[in-house]
Amino acid sequence: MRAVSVVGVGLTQWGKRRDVSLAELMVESAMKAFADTKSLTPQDVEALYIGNAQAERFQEQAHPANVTAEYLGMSPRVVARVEMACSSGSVGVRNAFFAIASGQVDSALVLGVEKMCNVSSAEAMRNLCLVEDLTWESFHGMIPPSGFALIASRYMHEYGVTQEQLAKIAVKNHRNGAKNPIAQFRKEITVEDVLNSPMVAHPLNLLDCSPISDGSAAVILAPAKQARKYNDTPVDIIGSGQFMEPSCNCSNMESLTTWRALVNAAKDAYSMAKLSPSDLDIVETHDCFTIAELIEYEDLGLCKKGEGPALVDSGETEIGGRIPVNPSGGLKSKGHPVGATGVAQIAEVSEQLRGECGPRQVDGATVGMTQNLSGFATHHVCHILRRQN
Amino acid sequence: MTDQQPQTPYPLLYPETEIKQFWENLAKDKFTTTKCPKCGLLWPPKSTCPKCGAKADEWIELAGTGEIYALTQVGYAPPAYKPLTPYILAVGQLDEGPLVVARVEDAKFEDLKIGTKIKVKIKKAFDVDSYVFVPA
Repeated sequence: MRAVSVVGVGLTQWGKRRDVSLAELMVESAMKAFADTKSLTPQDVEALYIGNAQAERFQEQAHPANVTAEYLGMSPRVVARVEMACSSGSVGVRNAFFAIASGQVDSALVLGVEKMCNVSSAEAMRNLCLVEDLTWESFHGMIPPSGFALIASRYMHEYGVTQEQLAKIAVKNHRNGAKNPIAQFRKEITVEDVLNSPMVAHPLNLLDCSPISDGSAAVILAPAKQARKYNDTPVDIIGSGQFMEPSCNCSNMESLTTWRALVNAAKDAYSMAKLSPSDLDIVETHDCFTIAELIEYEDLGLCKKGEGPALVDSGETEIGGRIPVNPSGGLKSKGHPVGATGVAQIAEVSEQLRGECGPRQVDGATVGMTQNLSGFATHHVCHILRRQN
Repeated sequence: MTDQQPQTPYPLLYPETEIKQFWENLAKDKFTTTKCPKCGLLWPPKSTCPKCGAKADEWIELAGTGEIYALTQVGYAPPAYKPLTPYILAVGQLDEGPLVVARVEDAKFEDLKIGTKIKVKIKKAFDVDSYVFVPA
């Protein structure tokens, strides 16, 4: 297998984007990613992966990869729309990684996009509920927050965590997101704000939850040996792992509090990279709900099982701490246009490792990890990136 | 069972499915699931065992008793559920082993915790034969 590098990244402004169509949003992130390379153009790129979960529901547009190809003037030899709900983007990255590693193509554009704000929040919520098992969970009133709330209730029972400790995760991510120019919510919040926000699914309040968002992110990958032709500071993808549990129902997960799919995806990524959790300088995780980031600390190996709440209290996951988590602001503050999230995580870690993140820069970061999930944490994708020497 | 698909908030595995007997049994006030001859009870009911691929066409009646395994109260839900909101949602562990998701009725959220004894109550929801948990 050939080594693979990130040679271009681009993000649109995230939030409510009533000013653009789905296609225009995709073009915006793609053109930024091409401008980030020395000279690559859409016409040069051989492979195209579109991470998009629900264009059929939000725009009534099927076959979005073909829409992208038209608007970017691309004629890819390898092309796919990747639909893996909230992890669509990182599965696109993983596919592009293998397409280049295998020698099939010498360049790939991965473009994640979701435009969710042109329907009512009630309709957006119902669309997201379609990711669940319709008959056995959605029909009974299960919603994405309630699945993670059930997980939180189990975590409280087995290990103990307070709503205040969960709130601190949201506060941290808003503090980081306030420094991210593309973030949907560039506003700091307090623990009291989280505790006083409306209850969505006990013990999760509105400010424990990531928002409904419009946004797009793009990354361009190339073989590591050719990377400097396209970018002076390439970042190598040195580990990739993915795992799915045989359960769509959250009630059928092997454990609600130790996510088997995450443990396995992370293990494969660490093994491929020949690194361990202590080698990481930054991590971008899937903080769709505060409880998710807490369990991710543990299952990624940043601390032992049950010690997530103590890690929160220690402040070690803040920028400047031992292992900064979600310096971008995470899904919580930056936003969660679901198909774009996994691609944006790769973009953030790449920019961090290049030292280009301004006020939210983690000093001296050379190795970073991304973690993206879908379903009720039944599917996870992890990548490890390192600045090329 | 009618030929018409009932109006539900989501398209259900009902009535045209290999496991339609689940709803036919509910209509007879029986809470049932399928059993694999080798691997035992399956939940949710499936006509083929996902572990070994055997045909699972034996239907077993469950006692419907168990305890709360995980618990939440939902304060914001899609429009069809607004009349019910706030509602309690639980994973119940039935005495035979399966972990089942359903709303909990006839109870206050504050009075429930993980370990609270519950039982299945068969009742209609959105004009479909369905079930909830109630305190045992």
